[in-house]
Amino acid sequence: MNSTRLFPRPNPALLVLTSLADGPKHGYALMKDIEAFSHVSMGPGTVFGCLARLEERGLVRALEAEDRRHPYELTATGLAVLHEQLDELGRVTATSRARLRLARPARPNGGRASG
Amino acid sequence: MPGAGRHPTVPALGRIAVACYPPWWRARYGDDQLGFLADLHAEGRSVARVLPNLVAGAAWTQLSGTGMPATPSAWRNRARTSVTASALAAMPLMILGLYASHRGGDWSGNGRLSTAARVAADAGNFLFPAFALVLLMLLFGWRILISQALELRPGAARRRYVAAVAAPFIAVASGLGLWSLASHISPGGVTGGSYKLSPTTHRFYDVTLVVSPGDPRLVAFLHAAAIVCGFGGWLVAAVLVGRAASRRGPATAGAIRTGVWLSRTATGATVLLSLAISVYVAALALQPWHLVANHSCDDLPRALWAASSCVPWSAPAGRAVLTGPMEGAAPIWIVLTLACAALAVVGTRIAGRSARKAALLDAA
Repeated sequence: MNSTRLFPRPNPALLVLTSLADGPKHGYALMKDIEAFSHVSMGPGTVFGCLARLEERGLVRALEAEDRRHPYELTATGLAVLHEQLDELGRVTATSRARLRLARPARPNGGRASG
Repeated sequence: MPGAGRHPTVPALGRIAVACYPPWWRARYGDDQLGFLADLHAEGRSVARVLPNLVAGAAWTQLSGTGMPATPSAWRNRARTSVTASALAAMPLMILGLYASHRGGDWSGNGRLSTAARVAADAGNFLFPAFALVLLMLLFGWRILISQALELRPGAARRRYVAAVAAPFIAVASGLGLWSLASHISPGGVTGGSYKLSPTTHRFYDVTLVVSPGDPRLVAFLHAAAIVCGFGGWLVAAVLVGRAASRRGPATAGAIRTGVWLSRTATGATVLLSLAISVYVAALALQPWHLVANHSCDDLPRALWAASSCVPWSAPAGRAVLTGPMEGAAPIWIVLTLACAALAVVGTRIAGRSARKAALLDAA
């Protein structure tokens, strides 16, 4: 089953905020980093559209241009929003894992599940 | 374009795609995007593969205004541009609608009506209330702008403002008057026969042409003048009202509330009108029509000037048979209508949102 249709891939804004969590990056470095840690390929339209929306809401800010490219960094608000989002995701993940552990013995395949 | 000459390694298609973004975006992110494409190219990755993403991003930015500076003048400019774009799109749409209805939307041959004819009849019936709603919106819009004029001090600026706001209205009203006059003295009219009309069904039998003494050239001139006044008025309205609105002072809370209501209703009216015209034109285009007319006119071709392009047609004494497909049957007309309708709807929506944002920023 192709699960990406049922569960769309992570929100680009969350990916960008996550990528900026370890320091400022410019657009291309952002795209490569996101590809490396999430296997999600984002084009320049998506990357800069996302950066513009985040900048508009004060979650990221542009630094002085280096070699004609602005690096972007998280603001304090952006950091707080990222924490909030990750906490929310963490709660869902933890609940899901806990319920899976409880559900495993009841699997109808002869109880071969371990752990 | 900012930075366009400073990234020589970016392929031309990439530059063109970046140029599709609005100016405020290019001023802010243009260099960053070109730098992105230059890095991509330098690493030997395909720039062509990201072009659809760039173009889609440009379209979305044009529509949404993401990243636009939050200043009243920027949003006002955007509202003006969108009003102009939607008015320009609405003009061919309305001309197509009028053309289609003029070409015989109400006429069908003997016998049963096809499904397309019924759909066209329903859409045609819907057009009139929709047109009325749009005119009502225009009247409300002008009323608000005129009332704003009264808050200005008497003088040349106030006179210019009132003239700018009133001129399009006078032009549209003159256009309607001329159209009405032209219809009144039109030489070709269809009466008699068995003709029934209900809200959802048209039924037609043989019709009798009644020819009045009006000069068809005068009628044609009046129709043309009506179109120039009416649609020219829309265009003048789009440009001048926007200019006039940007000259007045900060909006009051009441004007903003009314403006919000007005822009939402205007968007709804434009959606309904565009939908009705699209369905109408598409249904008529699918409807082959056939008219059998009994007449007592020696000069039938001139009397039937409105239908002169129908082929083939013959005029034996006392009886004319016109048959053939609608001129608008070519798919290009349907596509054009739908494209104009979509542009008018999107433009109206953007204009409304931009005007609201500008007014709110103004008030703040």
